[in-house]
Amino acid sequence: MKKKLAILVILILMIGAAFVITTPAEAGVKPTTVVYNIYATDGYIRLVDGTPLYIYGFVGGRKGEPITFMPSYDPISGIQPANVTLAGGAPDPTGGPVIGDELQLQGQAQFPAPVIYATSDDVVEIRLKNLGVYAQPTAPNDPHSIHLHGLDVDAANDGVPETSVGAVPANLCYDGVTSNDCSANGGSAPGAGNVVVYMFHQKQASTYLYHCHQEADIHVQMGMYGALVIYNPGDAARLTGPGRGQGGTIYGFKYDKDYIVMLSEFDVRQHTDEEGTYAPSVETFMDSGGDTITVPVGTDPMTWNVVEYKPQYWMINGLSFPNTIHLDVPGVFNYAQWIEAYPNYDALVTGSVSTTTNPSQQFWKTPGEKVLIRMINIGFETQPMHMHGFHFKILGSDQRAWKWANTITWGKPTPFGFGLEKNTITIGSGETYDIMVDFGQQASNAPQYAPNAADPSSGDFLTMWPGSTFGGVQTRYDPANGNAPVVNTDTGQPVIPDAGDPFNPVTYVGGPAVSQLIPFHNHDDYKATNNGVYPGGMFTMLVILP
Amino acid sequence: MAKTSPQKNSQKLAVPLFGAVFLVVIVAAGIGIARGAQPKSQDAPEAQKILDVQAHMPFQVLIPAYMPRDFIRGDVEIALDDVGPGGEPMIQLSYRTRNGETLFLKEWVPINPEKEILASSRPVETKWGQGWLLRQSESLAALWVDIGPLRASIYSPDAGVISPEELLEMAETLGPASNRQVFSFSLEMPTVREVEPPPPFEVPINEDGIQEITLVVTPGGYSPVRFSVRQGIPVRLIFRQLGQVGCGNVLIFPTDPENTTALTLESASDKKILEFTPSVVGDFHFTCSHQMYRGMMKVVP
Repeated sequence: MKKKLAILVILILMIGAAFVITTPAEAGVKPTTVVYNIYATDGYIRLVDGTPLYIYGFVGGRKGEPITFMPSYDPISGIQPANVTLAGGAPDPTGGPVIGDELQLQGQAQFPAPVIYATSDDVVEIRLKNLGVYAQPTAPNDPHSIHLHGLDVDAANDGVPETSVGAVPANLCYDGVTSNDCSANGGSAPGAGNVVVYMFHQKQASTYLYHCHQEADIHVQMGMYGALVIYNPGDAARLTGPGRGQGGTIYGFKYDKDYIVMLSEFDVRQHTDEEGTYAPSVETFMDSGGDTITVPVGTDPMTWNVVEYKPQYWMINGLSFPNTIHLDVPGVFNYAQWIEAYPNYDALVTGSVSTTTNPSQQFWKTPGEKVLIRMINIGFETQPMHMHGFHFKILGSDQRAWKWANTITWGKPTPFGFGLEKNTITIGSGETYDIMVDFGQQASNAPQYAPNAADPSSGDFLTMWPGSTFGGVQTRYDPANGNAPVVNTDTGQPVIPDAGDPFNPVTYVGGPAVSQLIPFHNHDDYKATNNGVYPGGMFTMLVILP
Repeated sequence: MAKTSPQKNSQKLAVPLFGAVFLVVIVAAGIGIARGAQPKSQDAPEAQKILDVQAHMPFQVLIPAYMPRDFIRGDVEIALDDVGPGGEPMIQLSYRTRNGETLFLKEWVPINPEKEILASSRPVETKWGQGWLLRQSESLAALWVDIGPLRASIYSPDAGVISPEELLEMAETLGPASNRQVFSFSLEMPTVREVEPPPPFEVPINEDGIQEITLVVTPGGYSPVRFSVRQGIPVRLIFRQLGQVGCGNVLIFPTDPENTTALTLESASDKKILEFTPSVVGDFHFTCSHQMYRGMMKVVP
């Protein structure tokens, strides 16, 4: 009897303990409000081949955190000004005319737009102000908005017409011609100078995007989009955002680090149309009377018609190959300057074949790093993205886990080799995919993952390492020569670049010149070009580290 | 039946009486316990914390008398380094429950109150005047109210726990943290009511006896979006555009139930004039060619 009572008491205590242990809040991390100060404006960038391009976009960042922006390229002087850092962060928007610190952001649209990130506990406030057109003052002074793509926002709450707020009007004056200070120009147009506060809270940690939804056919093409990432409250990456080497969890899967791979493409004709320089293609012929007649080609009208869309440049995170793999184009592109302004958009995916920061993943098939790639397509085309050398696991799409394909059972994720794995994924406009790459797969043919410092000949990784006597397989592209592979004049073989120290992985992380590369590219291979020049476009690499 | 001694009667009553007394005691105890939980005047648990930081703020900081019981008022977290949407000094109070549910209260004095706008919100009635309520299913509930020049934003990411009515009750019971704060767990919730739209703009009659109105279409819609004209008096409607308006250059305008006119602006500087005499009393909805922009003409006798 006493024994039974003791068992009963123990049972009750255990049930009680279970209730006490179960606490909904993540230990030590409290929900907070994250504020982003974002401005809409215009600007110029240079494409991979040096072509100046007029864009609309956003600039700004998380309130109170320093931001660095890459100023607008000056197409007249041909000068790319040095980066500007605002130590106090993006200025707080002011309602009314553009004043004070806001002035220095006019005409400085960033492409892509700053990554917005927060956790699934946080309330996010985005404060948006429209600084109007500045880099090209004759361009349309349009309203802009932020559409939170993939967030579950109640459609019924778009507001009644009298107060409906989505777009932030341009700072137009009532004369319809001038802007900003309207004291002498008939006053401000309705809504001019508004600061619109978008508030949201998203419970599903996943990959989202945001873009302007005003005249979406034009404004999205003009470059008004960026990634939006919601982390779980315990994720280390919540403090840095994506692309910074920090880990986290998604749909229950743990990853060592995450990257954004955001796809888009440009048809420069849309941009020149907004800029006011669009010249339709024409053909000239002689009529029977000997007079010269010039007519638009095909259906090309005198003003740009978006249904003629036929892009020339394809990009990942706003960069075309070889800029995606950190290669400079002398006089056109400097990666160090770019990454300082776009710290969350590194498109060169690196991973170790042997070192995971997360011991709990050891039961997975390999001990290699598990790298999450957050794929987003915000272009107008559907893209078949193909990864060499790996089959990646599709964890989810459009902010939902694909539980039927990859389950978490007893806390253990479906290992690689099971579940839904692909090497090519077709991603349509507006879609997102969360895919996991197991870098250890590259080591699975190699019994020893890392080179042994004591015996440099040991370790099969060395056979893949470009600096080894086995030669590796790497080529390097020469931007000064149309990105043609650099050829060794003695052997006629592609040059093996300087390889760093094989026993010091830190020297590998410097980029493509020091390690093994595996392509990840658009398999519509004509899109792996820059205005028709291969290789280029939607093309990046995975860097295999020891 | 006729004769029953009082003695016997009292004996008979003894048991029920005991029961009744017992019941009264229970009820009294219950009332006593209940009264203990009733609102009463005392310092709000966070009042001193608020008073301690009051000197840092250029406005009087308000706290709600009503707050759902689970929030631990005394543990309020106070942030003074935030600023409002227009860069104004702002205080943020964060209240939390033991389960981790959070309630935020921000207060600031907007420099341009009409230009700091909560996206996707709808106007609601509050005792302070018009407020703006935002709801995103169970993800977020937010309410902005203006108390004189002070704007308060009360919101929670735990909208499944806090109802809009509770947000409104908190907003309506905002008061200074000084003196003896009345705070309560009031059970009577206010009703959330949407604000009636303002009356239509009345088109004046000029010296020629014509009701003349300029209808401007902007990217944000028509201005004015609703106007009223008198029946039987000629109307001259001047239609123009301001900025990029997409399909807004075409105005589909019903002048009476039988007749609808389409006006098309050929360029940004174009103007189109429509002259008609309203003959039928009623509401006539006009739109752009794709019905994205909408407005209303009211014809009154």
